[in-house]
Amino acid sequence: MKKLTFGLRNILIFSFILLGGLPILVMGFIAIKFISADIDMEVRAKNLLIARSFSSEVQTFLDEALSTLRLIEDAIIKKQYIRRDDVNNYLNDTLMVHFEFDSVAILDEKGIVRFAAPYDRDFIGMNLSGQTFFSRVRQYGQPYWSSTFISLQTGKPTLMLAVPMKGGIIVGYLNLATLSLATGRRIQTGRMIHSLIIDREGTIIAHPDQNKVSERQNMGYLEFLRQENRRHEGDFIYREDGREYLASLSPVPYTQWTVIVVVPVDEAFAPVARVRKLFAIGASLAILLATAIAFITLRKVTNPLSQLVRGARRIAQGSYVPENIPSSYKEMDELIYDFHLMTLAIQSREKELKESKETLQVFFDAVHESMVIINAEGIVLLSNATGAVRLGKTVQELVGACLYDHFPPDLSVNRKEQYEKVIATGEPVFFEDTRAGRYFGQYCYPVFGGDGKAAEVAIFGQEITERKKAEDAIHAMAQRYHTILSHQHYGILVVAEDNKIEYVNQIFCDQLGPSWTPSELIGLTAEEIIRIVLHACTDPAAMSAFIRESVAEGRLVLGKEVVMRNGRIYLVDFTQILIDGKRSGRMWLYRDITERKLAEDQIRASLKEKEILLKEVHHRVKNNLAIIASILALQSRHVQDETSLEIFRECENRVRTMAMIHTKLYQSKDLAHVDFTSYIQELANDLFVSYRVNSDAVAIKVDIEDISLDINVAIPVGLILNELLSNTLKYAFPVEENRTGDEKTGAGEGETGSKGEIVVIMREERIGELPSPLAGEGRGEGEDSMLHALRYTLITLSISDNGIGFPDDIDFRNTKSLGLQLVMALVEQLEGTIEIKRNGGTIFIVKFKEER
Amino acid sequence: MMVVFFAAFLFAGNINAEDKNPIKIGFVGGLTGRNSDLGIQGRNGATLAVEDINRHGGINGKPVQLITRDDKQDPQTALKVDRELIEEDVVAIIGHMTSTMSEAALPLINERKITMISPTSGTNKLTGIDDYFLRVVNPDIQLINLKTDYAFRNLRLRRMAIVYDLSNRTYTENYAANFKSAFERLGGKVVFSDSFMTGPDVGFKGFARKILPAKPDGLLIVAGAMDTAILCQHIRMTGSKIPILVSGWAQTPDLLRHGGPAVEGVVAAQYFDHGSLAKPFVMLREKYRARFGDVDLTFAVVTGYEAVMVVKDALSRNPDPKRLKETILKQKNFNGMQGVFEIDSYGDAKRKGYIATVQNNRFCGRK
Repeated sequence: MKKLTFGLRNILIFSFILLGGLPILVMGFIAIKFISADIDMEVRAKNLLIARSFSSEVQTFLDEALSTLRLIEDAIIKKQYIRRDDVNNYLNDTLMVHFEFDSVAILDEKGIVRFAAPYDRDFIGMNLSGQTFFSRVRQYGQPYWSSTFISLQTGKPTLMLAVPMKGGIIVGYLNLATLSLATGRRIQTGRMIHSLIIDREGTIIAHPDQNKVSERQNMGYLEFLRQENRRHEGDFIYREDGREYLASLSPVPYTQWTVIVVVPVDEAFAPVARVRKLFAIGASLAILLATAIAFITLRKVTNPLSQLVRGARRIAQGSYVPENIPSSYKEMDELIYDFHLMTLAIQSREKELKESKETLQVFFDAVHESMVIINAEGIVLLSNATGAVRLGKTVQELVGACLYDHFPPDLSVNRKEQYEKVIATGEPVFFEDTRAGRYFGQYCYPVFGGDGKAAEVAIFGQEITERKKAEDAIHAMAQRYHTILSHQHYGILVVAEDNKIEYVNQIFCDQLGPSWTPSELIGLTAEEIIRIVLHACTDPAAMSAFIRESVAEGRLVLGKEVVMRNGRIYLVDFTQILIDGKRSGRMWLYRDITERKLAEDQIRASLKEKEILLKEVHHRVKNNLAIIASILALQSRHVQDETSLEIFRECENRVRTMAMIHTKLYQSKDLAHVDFTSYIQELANDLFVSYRVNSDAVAIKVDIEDISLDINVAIPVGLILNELLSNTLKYAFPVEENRTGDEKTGAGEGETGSKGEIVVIMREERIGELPSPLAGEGRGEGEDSMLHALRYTLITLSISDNGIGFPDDIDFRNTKSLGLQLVMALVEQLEGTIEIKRNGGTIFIVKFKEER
Repeated sequence: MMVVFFAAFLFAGNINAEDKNPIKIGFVGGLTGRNSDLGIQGRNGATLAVEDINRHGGINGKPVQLITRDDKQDPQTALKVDRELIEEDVVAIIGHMTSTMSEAALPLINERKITMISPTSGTNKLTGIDDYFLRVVNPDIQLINLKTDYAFRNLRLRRMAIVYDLSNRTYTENYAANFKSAFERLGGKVVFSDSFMTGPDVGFKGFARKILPAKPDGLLIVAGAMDTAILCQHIRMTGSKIPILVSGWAQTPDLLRHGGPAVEGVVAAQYFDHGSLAKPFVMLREKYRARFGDVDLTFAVVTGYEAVMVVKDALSRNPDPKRLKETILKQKNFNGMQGVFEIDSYGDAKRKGYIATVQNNRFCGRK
């Protein structure tokens, strides 16, 4: 419903008018009411009096008619003044005097007309016994007044009065035209008042308009004139032909007629109308005066207000130019002053708002994704630059246009459906679609109106083409890795950081039992999968501890052997998955090594057997060499020649040296490498014994890193040591006191006279990887070259003494000394180098590479 | 707004609301004079119909106004008042009530193309003519045939006397001639036929004495109720008890009132069953009594009512008064107070006929 708004001026004027006019209205209304009531009562009473008076006259008329007939009865029947032959004449005479009668008839007891005036031979002899009057008069013996009817003789509305008499009935036919004359004569005040008479059926029997009587018009259409409503006096107002009438009723008892006095209401209540008009004029003048005063008085208030209103409109349009508003009242002055203050404040805030809006607009347009707001019909209400550019429009072109017109039909239908869903449900919607080969993510949010219903949609469109491509690539990669992982020959279990199983392949499932599949396990929690795994283990406690520790420590674990109940043996690897240094789950690898284990056991058994054999070989070789050394020692006893004896000694030492190697091999763990530290010590001891060197005069220091040499290297090195030590012991310290026993050797004090010292130093230095010797034999550089690359170390063996030094004139590389020749040959065999340094003694430095 | 309010308050008593433009229907009949009972009853029936229509909202929302005129049973007056009604822009004229008046009005209504619907004009002279004269009663020839058949077969009459009133010549001469033809066709014979002009000096006594010497075994009176009643009185005064047949024109309460015992046993034929129990008829009777007092419902009242209702039905279908005749003839069937009746393409009605006799001062149903 439209709210009515009233202006202040109108309200004030209305209030003035109300204050000025209301009392007048109220008083006038009351006065008119009272006057109307008085006049009403007076008019009604007056009319009723007239009706009653007329009714009384009608009654008198009827009484006179009745008296006339009674006189006739009296004259003819009772007193018999009239002879039978003269009855008709008498009746005619009576009619001449009593002209209200049209005719009179005398009926006999059977209802036959015997006498009639005016005389009508057709009438004489007629049987009127069928008429109602006859039976009524006979029944009640009282005069009877008939309904009005059209006379047989006159053809005019007629009333019949039947009076019982001795021997018959006198019937008089009254001409109702006389009643009409009476009604017309009755009222002569000139106020349009008239009277009428209606019979008991409501038919007009007397009226100033004779046509109404002759046409027997009926007034039964007026409810108050229906028979049941006319038994008592009263008055009614009715409307006819557009005019109101006051009808005052008075009944005529004899005949159940009703006399009605009718006067137009406007005539009857004319005084009231005059008073009303006077009052209207007076009230109108008062209101006009009040209005004039109101206008003048209020102008001084409303004019400034109007100017303030105009000022407010100018502010709304953006104009802040102050206007001088004159005022006649203190309150208006204050209002005007405050208005100016408000104007300044608005101006300032508008400026701030504008700046803020511009700033926001910059940010809005700077966003690299589209931001559009549309209404329910798809009309764009707001858009940033990105949104417009993506649609090939400017912001100005796009705002106000229909968004759907800018998309291909299929896309438009889909987006429209989504946007409408937002408005219908009031819930955000996200969806992705493609346009011109590019992917877009649409984030759609409802914008609610004042009624709380979604009226607009805010759409944030993000191009996700690259992301989609990345997702597709990731998905493809995941699929590829999944394929790879699925085809691996070891079980893989990946647990996500949320402790849920992220990936598991069938091989992993197989270790748990025959019926497990990856789909059953993926999604389970770590605890659940652990329970399944433990159930499948032969040693659940150990496995549980292993799992717990591995997960807790988070470090790489390789090769944990686990035996499952199905008899398979697995090697379990565990690793934490790190992505950019952050934990991103963990992975377990289960390699089925059951066959390998079996093979290993077999190989181990075989190796054990071979080790035993090899040990035996080394033992026997050692024994054989010892036998040879013993034989040489025995044989040397039979040699007198010192030189030959020396040769025998040297041979024996050499053989013992090799035997010692085999002894060391026999004692070694792998039967292939010799612990050189203990070997050199023992070798030195043996040589000291062999050359009977005084250990108090010559000391040997062995500084050897924990080095073990392969047998193929140990023997040459051992022989080299043997030779160089032997030389040193023989020649470096020539003082005889340094010998033990009878033999005097060269081992003695050093050059300076201090105790002789032999230092054997052996160092190992890693020198990295070197290409395989086989790399040049038809194998590509990248083709398994890593498998054939060898790791080498550089062994540096130095034997030094502080003896007399190696003679400068002897080229040790080219000497007749068998020992040195043997050394050179062995160095060559080792593919090594040897150098000598003479610096307060002699240092032999031998370098060679050892394969590791 | 305040000024308007005050003016309305102050001058409220002087402001009269104008009715919407009413639909005017004319009624014309003999409302005064010797045989005015027919006209008055027809007018009363039409008045009741108009009041009923207005009580139910009028025709197409418009009230109906009935404008009545008295043709005084005079052809010149009939033309004059018809013109007056046409000048009043009536959409139709209900009337005239007698055939002579209807015949007199025919040229005028055809010329002015005003539809006239008569409640009671039964002359056969107006049968089967494509004109603007319509009626809700059959041509009398049908009732005449019914009556002659009843007279011949039921009453076994063979020698009929016929008297008729020349004041309604178009009806009465035609009626008498048709009766004679039909009666003689059946094998009867009309032994006496004479006419009179209605008025106070007819001399019915002598007239009655003229009829009887021809020794008729039945008498047909074609006249109004009053004249018929008086003649019946005088026939009976002669001591004759011959069966008397009367025309539909005489079937009004005035016949009973003025005829008294003299009209007991009188035979009439009408399209009206006095003893009908049809609900519309019973309700109409009650409405008529409430409106016009304790008076009998006559055929003229019923057909006057029905004639107005025919106009109402037609205008409800098509409010164009220029096409009223066409609409009525197209509709063809109408609901009467005692059943459906038909108006054929010439505007003549087809209704069922009934024989009624006067018994105990009342018209009683078919014998």
